[in-house]
Amino acid sequence: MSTRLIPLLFLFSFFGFSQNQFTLSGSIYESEGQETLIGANVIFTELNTGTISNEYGFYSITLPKGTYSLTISYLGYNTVTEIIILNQNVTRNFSLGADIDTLDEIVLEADLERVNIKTPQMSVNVLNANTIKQIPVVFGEADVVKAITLLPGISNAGEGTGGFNVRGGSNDQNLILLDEATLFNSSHLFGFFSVFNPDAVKNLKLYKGGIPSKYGGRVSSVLDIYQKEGNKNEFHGNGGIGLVASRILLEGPLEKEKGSFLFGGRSTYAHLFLPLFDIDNIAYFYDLNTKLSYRLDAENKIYLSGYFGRDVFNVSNSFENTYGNTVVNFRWNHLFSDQLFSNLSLIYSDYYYGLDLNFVGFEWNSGIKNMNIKFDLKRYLNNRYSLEYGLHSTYYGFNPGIIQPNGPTSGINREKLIQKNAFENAVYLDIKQQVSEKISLNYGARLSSFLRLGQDELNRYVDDIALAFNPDLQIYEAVDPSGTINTSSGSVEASFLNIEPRLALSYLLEENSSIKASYNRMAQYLHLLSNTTAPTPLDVWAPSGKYIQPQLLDQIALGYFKNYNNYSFELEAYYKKNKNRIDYIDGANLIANKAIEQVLLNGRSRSYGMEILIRKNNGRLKGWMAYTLSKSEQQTEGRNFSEPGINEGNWYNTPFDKTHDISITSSYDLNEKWKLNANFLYQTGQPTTYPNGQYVYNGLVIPNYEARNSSRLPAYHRFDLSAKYIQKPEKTNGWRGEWVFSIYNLYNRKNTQSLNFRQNTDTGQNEALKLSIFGAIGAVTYNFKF
Amino acid sequence: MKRFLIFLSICFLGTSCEDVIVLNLNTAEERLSIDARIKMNPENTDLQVIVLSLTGGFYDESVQWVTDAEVEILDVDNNITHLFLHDAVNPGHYILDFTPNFDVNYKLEILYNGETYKSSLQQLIPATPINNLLQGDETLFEGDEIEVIVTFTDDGSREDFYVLDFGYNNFLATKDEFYQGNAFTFSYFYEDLEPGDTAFVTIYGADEAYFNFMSAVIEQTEEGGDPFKTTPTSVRGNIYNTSEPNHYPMGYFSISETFNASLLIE
Repeated sequence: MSTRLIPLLFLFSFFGFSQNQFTLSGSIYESEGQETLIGANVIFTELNTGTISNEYGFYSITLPKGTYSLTISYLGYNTVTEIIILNQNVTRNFSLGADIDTLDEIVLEADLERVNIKTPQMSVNVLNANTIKQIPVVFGEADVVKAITLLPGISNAGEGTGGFNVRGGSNDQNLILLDEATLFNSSHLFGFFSVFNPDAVKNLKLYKGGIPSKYGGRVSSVLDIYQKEGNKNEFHGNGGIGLVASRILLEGPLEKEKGSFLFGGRSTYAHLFLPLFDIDNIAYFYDLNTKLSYRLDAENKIYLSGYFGRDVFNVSNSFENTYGNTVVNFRWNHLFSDQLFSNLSLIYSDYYYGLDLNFVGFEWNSGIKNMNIKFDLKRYLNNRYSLEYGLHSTYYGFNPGIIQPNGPTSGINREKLIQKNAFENAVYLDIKQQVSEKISLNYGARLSSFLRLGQDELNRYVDDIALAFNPDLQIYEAVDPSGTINTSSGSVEASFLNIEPRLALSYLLEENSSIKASYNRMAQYLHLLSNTTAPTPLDVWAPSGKYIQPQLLDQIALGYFKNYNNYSFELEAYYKKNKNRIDYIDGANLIANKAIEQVLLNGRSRSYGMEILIRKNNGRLKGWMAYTLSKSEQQTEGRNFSEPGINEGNWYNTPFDKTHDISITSSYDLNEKWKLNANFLYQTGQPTTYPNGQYVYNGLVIPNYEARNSSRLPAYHRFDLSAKYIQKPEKTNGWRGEWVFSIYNLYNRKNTQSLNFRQNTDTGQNEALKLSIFGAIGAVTYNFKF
Repeated sequence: MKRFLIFLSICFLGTSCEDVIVLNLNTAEERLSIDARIKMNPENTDLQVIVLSLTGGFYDESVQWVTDAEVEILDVDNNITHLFLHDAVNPGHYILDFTPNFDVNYKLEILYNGETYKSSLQQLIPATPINNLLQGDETLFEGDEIEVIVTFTDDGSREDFYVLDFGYNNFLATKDEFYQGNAFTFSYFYEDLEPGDTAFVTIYGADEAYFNFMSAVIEQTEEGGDPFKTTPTSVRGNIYNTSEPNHYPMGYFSISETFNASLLIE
């Protein structure tokens, strides 16, 4: 399929050429380390038009012949203004020097600048490393996922749970890209940390809606993270020493101004001290980031990046658990012309989960591997049109589980759950068009296909029904397969094809305000099998196939955006409808389940809401306030009139439905040496299920429960404070240190992580037990750079 | 997997805590609750007990026993009725000297409050003897658990499900999927046992439906802090109300071969 598509892709490159127009193109760097700048503004002041640099720092704009004054700007950097005489094609690279006074500002560029008010892209938030590092967090460890949950529309399932939820979507519906490679798990230690080393992160962009057709494969959101390339001029390092974790990042030139390396490592070390307290339980994580970049010539750049992270738990030698991501990624940027930028990525990514249960004599591992080729092109036609198109192809290998004895005396038989394979392909086209002074459009589509490949022992069922309803007992029961078939791994077991249209438009009301609207359809072919409140590292991914349909989501969003001098205001409303959301019958066991189709029912979900974001971007006091009012629910009806489905077929709240969600985050520059930060969060309590009765069976007091998620935990709120002390603010090179003192949950609110209903073994009396994870936690971190 | 999160945060700073809170809970309409575990154990007497009560509010301290029901087990294949009689000493307990046989279909029928409750057909499910119990010295999250090492030999000729009763309201449901035909050894960690106590272990033969029921029941009565916990629901058993289907009962009717073993903790 791919060979036939390539000529088609190049076709787009050869129209729209005009003689009297010339192209200005190049890359934008920060001057100190020649790090490329993503999303820097290139503005032609007289024409009131411009462009922004792409993910690799490249920009291109084609304009009629003329002399223009050009402004290059990027928050936190000095603005460069130049006169450009455009009477031929011009290649021009710009280096922006850090603006010392504003480097540490909260930088939330989003659609802050004039140009961004005009672009149709909405529902997107951009954070850079400085912002992330400023937000006070538990244990004083800067954290990417914790930072994004302060933005409107984004929440998580509470303390001690991994991942994040975007606009009422589930965790597995987020596409997480690290340097273009898909990560399957974003959390360390059950969400206590996220997998991204904040020192290695250059820039992140989170799309909540109006998702461009370049992205696909997950229905809810895209978290697109780019790592730093490394300093191309001189060797530097930075790092931090905290209470529970430390990190170090080294970077420097491979060849001056041409090549660079970056190497980062991070680990918790609390476990090292546990033996002192005679605790032989261990929990820690570590991760390593590497990146090499090299500029071959003006047209070609190559990058090699890698990520390796592992979490390790060891409980009294009875239980050992290891899991994490591995990513290797080779990229080649090539300029076909000054108007045609391309990137080719070859990516290998896997997620491994291993468990050794010594007390059962049992070893288990599972995971998912994928090999991915992406070829993305961006064609800059003129200042009114640009095109992005490309093709993505991914081969997946799923290991649902291998069980084996952990020693010769174990009674466990080796068993390999049947491996599954699939092939996902997509082509896309995205057109950016400036229709008039006031109207801009972004439109395109993604054509995605998913081929579930043949496998051994594929279960067959009479009439393809794997789950039967027992009308007497009113329960769902597994149906025994009528047989199994083996199909060759080259054959296609099931295939799906979806057209995913994407559309976004903006209408400029006046110079500083606009209205935007967007629609996107997304398809998701992979499903994380999880029936716990929040996903766990143990959950396995399953491909769509004969018994699991791909998820399809439609989202519409509307927004109003306005910039004032120091403030900006964003208001958005959205509605999302998700088809083929799988749900599980009561009590389904998903772990090591060989026939997952026997516990699944097909349902749907929907969510809607309103988000407000008010930011103050300048001055000594900066920050933002985000408010989200939303609803997220799901429904799984019976397949016919005699079946009730799940929860009697009624809509019920998803575990991440939070009616009100308020976050306020602010920073205040006291003086050159001291900077203060504060957060306040308030969220409606998470939906939960209360008991409405009890009975005794076999000596056990068993609670009976009301309808699913029909009650809520108490509201969640907390206040965090941190202060940063910069030892020698005037120093611009050599060893520079800073201290960060933070208090998480200052007023020691015992927020409820979960409620547990049980019989008190001493009194025999039933009781509700509230679990809270973090009280007030103080932390000190020392950060350094050299 | 119990107490995993608590364990994790203690590993760092010991900040997590558990508090008993009082909630204002609703109470659903009363339902009949049926505890009908028919056992066949050559070492025991064959006195079988079926316990009937009504569901109560979550915070109710006393159990409402059902003393005026008509309880019988039908041998469907041979058309014999085994009538259970209410035990005047133990309210809610219905007793009969009765030994089930293999390969016979049985059905539980209860008439209570003018409504008829029937179970699905059940057969006597075989179990396997416990080879031995040993005390080990490993611990789990808390560090003070008592380890009891259990070994039994699975029958390789059939697909087996077992429910293990460790006493003190500790249960485990397991299937032979991954130890088919082997001598299977595993450790059970008691949280509240002390030296001088006796660990009683009973293995029950179960079918898949009973295994599923007990797995759900065990999960819902386990203590919290378990990230692997699923959304709780009312666990439906294998008995239904033929007069008023919406007024379904709780509980289960099972017939199991059982074997016992015990160990004095040192």
